[in-house]
Amino acid sequence: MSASLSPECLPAKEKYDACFIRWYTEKFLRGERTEDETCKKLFLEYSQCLKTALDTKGISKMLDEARKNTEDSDLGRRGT
Amino acid sequence: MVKFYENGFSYDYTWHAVTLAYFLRYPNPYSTHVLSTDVISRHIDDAGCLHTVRIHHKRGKLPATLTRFLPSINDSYILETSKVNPRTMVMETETRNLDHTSILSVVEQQVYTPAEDGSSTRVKTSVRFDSRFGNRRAQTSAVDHEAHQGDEQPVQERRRLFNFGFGWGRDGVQRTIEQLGARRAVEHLGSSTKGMQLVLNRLRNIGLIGARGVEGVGHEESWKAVWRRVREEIPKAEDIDPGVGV
Repeated sequence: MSASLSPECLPAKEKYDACFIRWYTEKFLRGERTEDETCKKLFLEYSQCLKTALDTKGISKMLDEARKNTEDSDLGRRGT
Repeated sequence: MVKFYENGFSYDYTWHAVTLAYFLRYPNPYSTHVLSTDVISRHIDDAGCLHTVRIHHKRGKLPATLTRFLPSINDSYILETSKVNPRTMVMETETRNLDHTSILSVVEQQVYTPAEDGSSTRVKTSVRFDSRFGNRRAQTSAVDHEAHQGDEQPVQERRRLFNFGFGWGRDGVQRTIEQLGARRAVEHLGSSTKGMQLVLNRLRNIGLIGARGVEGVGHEESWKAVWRRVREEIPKAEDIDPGVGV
């Protein structure tokens, strides 16, 4: 799998990615609609690690701005 | 000013397989400019659709023509949003650059649907290029003009402000940025399609996808073996089939 923005988050990211892909292939694509509790827990660990990197690199701010700019136009137009 | 590009393509793999490859497409030998990929958020909505937000960090310089008068840009962050509806079998994706948007904003939208026979997948791509480069200066120029009562050549004055020594006006600069951006994006679309093809071929070799679509792996041990192969084999630079791609 791909690298992470923050090298120290890579172990957490890899665990989560593996969990997600297995759930996606074996559950979600076969019609299951519920999220996997193990994957959820792994995602929490990964995103807590990532948050610091997103804040220090100024990405959190860019994300907020992008959200503000797109919410009105794109989502409304595509809403399916 | 805005420029559009549209394209249609088809993968010889089932819709389920293509959606899986979409999440596994980086890194691959055609995407060496992608430095990292992270998941920002993921959830299932009330209708059972999977929403994912990812951020890709890409390396890449602008064409030399642009770096002559633009600050040098060595990397950028790309925001990717996707929605997978397993019931209607529609995957919608969107990528947009998060930074440098005052120079050029590129928004690529794709819709993945199964072809009639179900064995292949159609992709419709549309890309929108929008350069607002110099617009803020245009406003400043207008204000300046009001302050200087009796300026008889406002148009020329404005032109001078946007003359970068190339004899181009602001519109010309925006158009050039959009054209260069569009050319780059079309090249990028070609290599990203090749990348998806290669990822699909390798997933089939590994056995994660087969004729019926995505295969179940079953036991924990066999899953681990499959996953190890996915991680090791998909990024490999060797054995690229020259026939693969567009």
